[in-house]
Amino acid sequence: MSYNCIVIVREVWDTRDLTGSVLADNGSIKDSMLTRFEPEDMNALEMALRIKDEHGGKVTAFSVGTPKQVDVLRECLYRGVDEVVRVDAGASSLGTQAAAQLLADAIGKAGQYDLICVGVTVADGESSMLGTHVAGKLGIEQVSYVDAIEEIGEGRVVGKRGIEMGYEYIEAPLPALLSVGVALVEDDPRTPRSAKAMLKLKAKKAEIPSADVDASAVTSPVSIAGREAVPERAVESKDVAAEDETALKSMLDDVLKGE
Amino acid sequence: MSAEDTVKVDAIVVGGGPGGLAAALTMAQGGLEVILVERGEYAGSKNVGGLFYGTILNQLIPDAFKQAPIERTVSKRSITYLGDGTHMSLTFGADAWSQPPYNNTYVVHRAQFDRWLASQVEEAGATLLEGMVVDGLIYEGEGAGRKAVGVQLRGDEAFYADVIVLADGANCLVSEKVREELAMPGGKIKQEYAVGVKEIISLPKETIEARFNLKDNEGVAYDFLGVPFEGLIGGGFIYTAKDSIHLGSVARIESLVESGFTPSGLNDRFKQHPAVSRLIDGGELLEYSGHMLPEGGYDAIGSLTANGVMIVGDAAGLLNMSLYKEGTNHAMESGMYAGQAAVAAKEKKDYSRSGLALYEEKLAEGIALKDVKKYKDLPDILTSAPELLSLYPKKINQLMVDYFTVNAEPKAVTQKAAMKNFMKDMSKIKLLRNAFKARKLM
Repeated sequence: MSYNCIVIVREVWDTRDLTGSVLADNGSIKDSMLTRFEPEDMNALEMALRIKDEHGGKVTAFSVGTPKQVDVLRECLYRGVDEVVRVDAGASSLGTQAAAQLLADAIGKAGQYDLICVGVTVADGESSMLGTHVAGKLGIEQVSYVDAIEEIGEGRVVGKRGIEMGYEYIEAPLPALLSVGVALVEDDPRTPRSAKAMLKLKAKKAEIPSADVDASAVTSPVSIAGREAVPERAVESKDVAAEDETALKSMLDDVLKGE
Repeated sequence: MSAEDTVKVDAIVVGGGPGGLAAALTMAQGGLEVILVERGEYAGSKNVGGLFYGTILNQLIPDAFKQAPIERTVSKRSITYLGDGTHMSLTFGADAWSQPPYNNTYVVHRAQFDRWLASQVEEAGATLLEGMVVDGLIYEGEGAGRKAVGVQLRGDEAFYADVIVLADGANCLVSEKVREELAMPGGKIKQEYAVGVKEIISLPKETIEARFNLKDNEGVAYDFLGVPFEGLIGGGFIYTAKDSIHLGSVARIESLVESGFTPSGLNDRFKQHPAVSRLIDGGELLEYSGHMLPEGGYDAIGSLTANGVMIVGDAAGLLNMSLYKEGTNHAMESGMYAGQAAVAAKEKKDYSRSGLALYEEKLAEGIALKDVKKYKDLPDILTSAPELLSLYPKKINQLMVDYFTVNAEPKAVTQKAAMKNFMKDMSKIKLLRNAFKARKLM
């Protein structure tokens, strides 16, 4: 039996090698900030692609908003996704609930599906709730922090979740939404596949279809009201001779006192 | 694999630095179907330089300097000798350098600039495949008729093309392999390498402008030699970007090994010189990178064309390591010529070595090879007369400091003592001989 899987993917700020100030003078995030494919969404994508590899079927990727630097939908095509859908976010930046509403609208129009996979945590908002909200709006079951799919079939899916001292297995009826956790790491044999040259060549300039949903009809009850940078701490360096114990001690005292 | 699954295009470029991008751009503009393979996450992600000469760029993309992400234009340059607690500079500039096209000399952030250039190349019709590594080329035929017909991507497909432009940079593993496999004659001498490290240090725009005496978008390119680099064939540089400073040092690898310095240790030494440290005072380190430079010069350049293959840029050894330190522009020029040769080869349907001969003909007529040839003795001079970079500037610096030392002595006494100090340990014959050699440095 084959399955139709949906993945929700996001482009997020790349916070790996942050240096210097993140905010511009007007309080917005600087243009020079880099972005990346949300790594847990990448794990969710891999999960969906493996179901297709094993059981056949189709994988469709959805993403909200226009790309900044990394076009995550195109990256999905490079890895073997069958279809992609861009969901227009409108002019304003969306809260998690509004984004979930738009995604649910778009997914609802996309036809029959068996499974939705999405990464659990997102580096920018840290709300971790997008999957939960989408499942709620679609009225389907959802399981959070799924690290792997143990089995799928007979109208149900069994997810494996890492817990303290072991694993637990959670069963849910299809269609279901799985929020995928962090267990797929770099040296894990389940590591997400990289882009394939042939797919990249074909999809590099492919047109990305947009979902027929109305962003202006969706209002967000929760939004970011403002941002404040942590004030920079002025640090004055001091030269202390390594052999001067008294000076070293006094420097240590200063550090401990927080001076 | 069925025939329709085989990818065959006119040209494949290996490497997304300025040389590869210029080649891809020229070929795409000439109507060729082009694939460029870059192993980094994006074009330019493996590049380090910050000073960019734009003559070829402005030729390939008219008025490119108006749209490209340029940090500052260079309105002032200087050469500084750093002594022990002393320093001596020669600073120069021209008003015209502050006017378009700004002497074609720009300071850029390579991560941004190369990506912009890559977007122009894509717009012209080439397809960029980033994040993919070329393991080697695929060949057909044997002996003199052996020709390259495609590239093998690591853990992935093989793509085929009539012509392959190798622009894999200073550490050119693919080119080296291809040279062997196609028996391409090497240069007179083995390629020699330098290694450079660069820090990007953040400072407020206003601080940079006040510290370097700059207006608007003006910037500086300062070169340094002297005590921090004693015993090494190398030097340091500072370029000003908008709200950051590029500071780095470069030294010949063997001289580093002999002296026991690490590249980062050398850069720290350079940074700590009082005349340098005050320029970056209060700055915060944003980025740290390292890169190799081919410094063997003209004699290390081998044959650059084979059946179905052209080698461009740093991989070809086309770097001018004199005070101009011109690499990117040369890479772009060679890339442009290789692109033109490929376009001509397509018309003739001849991609053999002789069919691609136009590349080396154009190269011989162009600026890059002539400049590298002009400085062909430089590696030798620097090795045989280390006094040129250390003893002489040190002596002149001391002479100036002694000459202008203000004390209770009459000036005649001070000046005489200064001259005496200057001539101490200086062999006049050697000085003459070295002065003769030094003319080739300029």
